[in-house]
Amino acid sequence: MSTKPDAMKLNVLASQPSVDAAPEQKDGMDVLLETGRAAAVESEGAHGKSYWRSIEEKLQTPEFLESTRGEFPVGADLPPSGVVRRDFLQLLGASMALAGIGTACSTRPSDERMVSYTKVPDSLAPGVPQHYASALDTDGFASAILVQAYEGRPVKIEGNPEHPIANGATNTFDQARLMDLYSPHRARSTRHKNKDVAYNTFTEQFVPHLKSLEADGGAKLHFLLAPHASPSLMGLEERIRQRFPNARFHSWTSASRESLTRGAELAFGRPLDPHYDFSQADVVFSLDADFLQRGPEAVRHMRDFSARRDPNGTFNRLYQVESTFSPTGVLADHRLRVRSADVATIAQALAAAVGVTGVSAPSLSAEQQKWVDAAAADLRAAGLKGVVLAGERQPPAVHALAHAITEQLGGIGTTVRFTEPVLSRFATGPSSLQTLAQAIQAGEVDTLFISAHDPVYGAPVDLGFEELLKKVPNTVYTSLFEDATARAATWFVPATHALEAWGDNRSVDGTITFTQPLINPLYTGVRSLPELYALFLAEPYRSSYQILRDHWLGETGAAGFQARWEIWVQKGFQENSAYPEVEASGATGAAARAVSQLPTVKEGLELNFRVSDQIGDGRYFNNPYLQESPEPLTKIVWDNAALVSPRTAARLNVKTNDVVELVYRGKTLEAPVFILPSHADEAITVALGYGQTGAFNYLRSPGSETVGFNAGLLRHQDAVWFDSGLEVRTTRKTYELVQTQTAWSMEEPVPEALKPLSRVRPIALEATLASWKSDAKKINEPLRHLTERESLLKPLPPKTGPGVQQWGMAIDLGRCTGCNACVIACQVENNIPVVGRDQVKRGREMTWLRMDRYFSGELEDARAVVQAIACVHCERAPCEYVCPVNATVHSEEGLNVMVYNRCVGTRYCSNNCPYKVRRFNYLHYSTGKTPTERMSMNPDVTVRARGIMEKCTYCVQRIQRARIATRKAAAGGEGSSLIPDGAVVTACQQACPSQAIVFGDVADPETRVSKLHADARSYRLLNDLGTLPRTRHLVRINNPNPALEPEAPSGSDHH
Amino acid sequence: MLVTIPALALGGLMVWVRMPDANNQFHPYEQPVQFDHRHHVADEGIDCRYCHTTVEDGPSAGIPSTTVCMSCHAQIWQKSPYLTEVREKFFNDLPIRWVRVHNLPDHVYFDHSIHVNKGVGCVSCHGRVDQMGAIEQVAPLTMSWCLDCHRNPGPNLRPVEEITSTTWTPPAEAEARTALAETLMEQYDVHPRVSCETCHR
Repeated sequence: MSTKPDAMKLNVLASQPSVDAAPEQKDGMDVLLETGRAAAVESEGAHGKSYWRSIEEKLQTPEFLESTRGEFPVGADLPPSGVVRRDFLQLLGASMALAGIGTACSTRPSDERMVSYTKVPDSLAPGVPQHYASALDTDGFASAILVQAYEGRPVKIEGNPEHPIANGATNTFDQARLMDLYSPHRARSTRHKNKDVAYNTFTEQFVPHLKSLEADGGAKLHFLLAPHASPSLMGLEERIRQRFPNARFHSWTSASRESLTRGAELAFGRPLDPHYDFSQADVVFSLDADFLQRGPEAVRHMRDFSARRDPNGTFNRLYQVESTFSPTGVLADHRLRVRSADVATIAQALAAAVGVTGVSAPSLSAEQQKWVDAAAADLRAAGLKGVVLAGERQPPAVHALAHAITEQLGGIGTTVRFTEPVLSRFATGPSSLQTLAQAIQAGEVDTLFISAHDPVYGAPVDLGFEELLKKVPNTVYTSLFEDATARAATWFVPATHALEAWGDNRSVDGTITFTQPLINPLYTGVRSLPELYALFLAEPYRSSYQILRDHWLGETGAAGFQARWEIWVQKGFQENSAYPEVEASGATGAAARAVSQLPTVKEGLELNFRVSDQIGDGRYFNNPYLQESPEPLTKIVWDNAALVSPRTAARLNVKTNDVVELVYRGKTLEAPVFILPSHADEAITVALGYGQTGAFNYLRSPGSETVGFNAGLLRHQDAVWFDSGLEVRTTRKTYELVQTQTAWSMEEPVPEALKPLSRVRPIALEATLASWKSDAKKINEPLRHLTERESLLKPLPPKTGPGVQQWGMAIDLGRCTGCNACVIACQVENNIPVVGRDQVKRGREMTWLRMDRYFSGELEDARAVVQAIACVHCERAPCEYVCPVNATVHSEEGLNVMVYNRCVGTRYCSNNCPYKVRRFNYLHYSTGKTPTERMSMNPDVTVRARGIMEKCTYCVQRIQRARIATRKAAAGGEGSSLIPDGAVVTACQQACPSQAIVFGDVADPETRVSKLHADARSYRLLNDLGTLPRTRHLVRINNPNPALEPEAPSGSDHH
Repeated sequence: MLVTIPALALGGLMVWVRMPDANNQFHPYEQPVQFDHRHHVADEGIDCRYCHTTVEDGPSAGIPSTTVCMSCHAQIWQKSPYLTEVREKFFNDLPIRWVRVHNLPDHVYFDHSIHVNKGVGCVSCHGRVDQMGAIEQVAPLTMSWCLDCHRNPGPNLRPVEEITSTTWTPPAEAEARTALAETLMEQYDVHPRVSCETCHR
């Protein structure tokens, strides 16, 4: 071992300091902050910086130390209520005695039926999955998907691999939207004034009513549509206009991306959509743009951006200015936390520093000015490889400034391209609702058709939309769930799920994408949007298929149509239908005007709204998979919270779990506080989408009728994203927010073997690019050295033989934002149950794949690293040695397999697992499902019962499917019987937009995974234990600007 | 006494689960349609794959759709009372609910296609269906029975051309039999797996 400890530049996870380092408990957050800083210095040795999972851990509060004394959280081992196993065995014994053992009973069910088809659908083989291209709509943009179905039953959504945007990946929402299809809470009956009626009753009354509107050309007929760019729907709308020339159309979504288009209009004189090409960008400067997480193009951004985070290629650099710590901020090399309103000032300062004419430098603090100057110099050096972008929460002027800077750098046409906007026809923000509201107030609306998502819940509160609706005699609303608008509307028609009807729409780049149903509507009462549109046309019924087909037949002509149509439907989109790039220039000239339009920055506590990372703007409120996916930074599940920085919390004298009153413009809202490190000072962030009324039983928070609180009650038309003037009042109440990752701790005092090397235990590793380039080997050597250590665990005999492959995985920390797409994908693929808030509180969450998030550095300016971890399939697996019934054993391919039917639930394996990746079914999580919920189950994976241990299987069902296909071909004389690289794609790998997860055969040095394992960045987690995990992680490399990190070139990272 | 009674009971149970009756063997079931494999397979010589179409392609061999039945019985025996049920279901577009005879536990994932593509004949597991009036299970279908073959597949292999033959027999001489097994093992690249995750997921 030649490396001296002081030569290590690796940032490693700190062990917890000893208990006596904990501060005495004093009142007041500021005292804690001070002691926290002291504690932080204490734990940060010369070997790297300390990492922490929560502020309580950082500060070593007595509560934290108390909660971590045991390995499992309090309540994890409480006996379950209901019929327990022992009772069951007693009952079983009694019933067997009664029945008499000698009676001729078989061990198998005797009357199980096989139901034959009357006519087998084309190319269907029972048990063989089929794949169909389709699309899902989000805020008006299509995301192309590939749906896997068994015997006509969709069970998994993946990205369409051929589509230019999706390229095979999906986001969290699209993964989980399958569960909306099967949700037992879907609306299924037409309602009239909140009473069930037949759909025919609706048409019988509504169609003649429409006839009566013809007289004045439909002057009193209004439409409030969800934004869309669907050519076929637009065709129908055009025909509706022909019948009702005076009808008016509005379009609205609570998460409008209008400011992007308006910003381009300000910069270039006409509305355009920007498209960023991060494969070209060397330096990225983001003004409150969460571009890796949000928006219809995020999947492509992730792919391009993360491909540039490899030290073997040209590394990019990301500057992030934002108020709330975002998943994009996780990957930022430099992050500046400012209030959202101050982002405009930073934009102006950057424009001035880059040299955009007509922009004067505003006054900034010396620290901020230094930061901006360094970034500006970096951007200037990058030239046309630099890009500045702004987020949808920022006003158009900030977008215009961002374009001006990019133009000044020469990046337009390289790092950013422009096309005609996809959602070009109507405004989609609050202005459109305002127009409608005025018309209603003026009594000009008699009939209102609403397809926009839940405006009663989501519209700015000062509009009083619910009251407005009461002034409209006839309102028709269609939605998947019976939400607030459904209850307020005269008529409610339940909508079809995207997988139940035909349709089309455009992707963000303009590509025409088709929605193809996978299944007939599950309920007879549901109607698709085109079918409802057709009511306005006074024509005979046509199905959504007929409407779509007729539209394209009319559009492209009958000659060769069938061939065209089949290709479109098969591929899921029309090739080369993306909008062409548009020449855009003149942004620098418009910069001065943009500056003049910047809103004045108001002082005072700022209220920030954010679309929830879990449940969107509320449209996934009823989706338990999303409710239980941990918020990427706070790790809160089943709730939202008022996020606040540690310093502001100290000023306000509040701490996490305190309930405060948020007072804004005379309105008051109670919310629990959560202190988020690195949040902007003097700002509070609340997530939208929560607190919907009419929440279903299992979705409710304790003592509440709903989940979380409705932040929308403070949202106003002129301040949809942020505004100053918030007041916070403390209350005496507290509310326990539930987080994941507070349980399942891998951290413990540094093992003896590691002590000569490091005072901290390496878990999630980071290094800077500069130190990596000079010292890669030295940085990695301590980790490799540890494999030589003696282990109590016996080495397994080498497994070789014909056809035996060795499976392994590589997870690149440098590409991961912690978006959770892989977690949901794993849950859907592997039939992993959702357990509910109370069970998560006891540390009983079932997700096989978890996303750990570690903070590092100062409390106020913390950075974060996320680490996806599932069973790492140790070659010497500690779990296998302790199982008394051989329920967890090793396969010859290196899988650590779990044999459910052997498991008796001792939980020894979980106890002995150093990675804490084993999950135990404390309760019957999978029983009691409705017939529709059962339809969502993947038939290739066993549904586990209570009392069974489970964990990641490396998607063994996918391995087997690939193996059988390969071996069948080999038996027929085609190719080798070894599964080729890339034939097995695990669910998490497939979903990951940034391709951070790679799976394959580690015995073959030519596979992608082997190459990543051979990469200098790869390391084995908790290597000192000698478990030899098959999943290896890759050290995350950051690329800080030397001008901002003076100590980076020589010393250890940052303190 | 205290030891012998539980020991006997336990031993009895262990014997009982190994009895054919406990494994559902040799138990013909009454089906909703009195379908006779003897007639269709032996007399008419219809190949198994005519009805069980997906046996080479997927995990399930497939239950024939009523359309398959009617492809012949629209022409022949179209008035037969034995086929009333089939006609009724076909014309009403309803499925026939057959009784499942070969029923593996739900945690077992068996795939027909890999077996028939590697030269395991239908007869090896399903027996002489050409001699069964009503289908019954002849093999125990227990895990040890599966593993016996997975550990020594040679004796159960046959040329894939003979895969559905009910009468094919391996060569009588031991040497030729071994030689054939070896050839087929080589030719079809047979190396069955015995890891748990092969069948349990």
